Amino acid sequence: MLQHGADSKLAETTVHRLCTALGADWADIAITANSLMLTTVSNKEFLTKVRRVVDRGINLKVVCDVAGLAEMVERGVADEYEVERRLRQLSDKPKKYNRWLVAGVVALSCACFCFLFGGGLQECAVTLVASLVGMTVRQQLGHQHVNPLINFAVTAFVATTIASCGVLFNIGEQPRIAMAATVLMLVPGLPSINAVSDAVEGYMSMAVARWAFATLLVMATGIGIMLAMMTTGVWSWV
Amino acid sequence: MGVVEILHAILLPMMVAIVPAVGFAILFNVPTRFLKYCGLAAMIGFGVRNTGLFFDISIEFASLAGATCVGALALYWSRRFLAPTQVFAVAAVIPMIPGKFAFGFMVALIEMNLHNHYEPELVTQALSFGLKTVFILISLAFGIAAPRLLFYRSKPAV
Repeated sequence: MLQHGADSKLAETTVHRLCTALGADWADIAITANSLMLTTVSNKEFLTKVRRVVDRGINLKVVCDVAGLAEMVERGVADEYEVERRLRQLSDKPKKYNRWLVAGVVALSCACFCFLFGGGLQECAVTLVASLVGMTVRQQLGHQHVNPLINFAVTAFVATTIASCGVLFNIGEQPRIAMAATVLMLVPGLPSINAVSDAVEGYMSMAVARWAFATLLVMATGIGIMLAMMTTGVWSWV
Repeated sequence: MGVVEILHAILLPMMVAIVPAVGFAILFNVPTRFLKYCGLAAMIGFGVRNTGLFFDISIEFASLAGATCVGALALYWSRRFLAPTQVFAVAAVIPMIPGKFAFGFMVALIEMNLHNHYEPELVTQALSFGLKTVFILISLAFGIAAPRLLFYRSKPAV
């Protein structure tokens, strides 16, 4: 249940603490790329379960709440019924920010990246528009459960096409910066950081799986960028 | 090295770096009450990194230093608010992620293949982008993990 973007060490310790606090003597989990095995020991009786783990998008609120729940149980504030109710609530209705707000702030972030790369205000405006449209596309596709790889490729295509209009119409002094900054919203930051931190903590198989997925996402984005460049004829990106 | 120069090279990017950090924190659905800490950590980390770059330290080490600051802050806050470290740390290093290098590498590779030209300049560029990406990413992630690995070796992750 923790696969909303937590790393393996966090998942393992949280599950362990939750189970021991709820009365089991010991609990161990084994994490693989898309399933999770949990064994609890209670009065020399073993109970093992395998659960499928579906990637449901990054949602650190859920991670945060589950960790907080473990803390509450350890201190004796919550009992098992309370825990079950809360977990069910978290998995059924994950609370999210308004999608337009998310699209807006991400677009603003990309405009700031553009500024950090040395773009002027006009380039920033191009980036803002392009990444706003791109983000809307990404959310729409994500809403309809399109495969994330295809989603990223399509989003990169749309965003780069719009941003390359800036080059075609000569908006600003260095319009190519806008193209570079727009696709930054598609960088798989959390998977790659989780990958390296898993590797550092010794969860090698998870680390490799996450790294591969992050690389694939970058590849998909690259294909999208490439298609857009072929359509608009704006080459040599950096 | 005037005051204006320092202002332009370090302080202004620090301020600007807050926006992407908070933006991506919202994208990652960080609870509202933690958003300001994400922004603060991003500001400090990015400031450290830019100070390093300003004094001609290589970008990998500068990123490592910045990410270590973020990691230490996140660790402190995670003890204080009983929330996982990632909640603060991941969004805060987003401004330091080498996205430009990563996609530059990708595009250079595809361009090599598509136009079938392998000039030394293009190959060198692609390689240097790729290596920069990998090393910066590793130093960022290691920087986040380092404080926890150093100080809380046997305690649980939260």
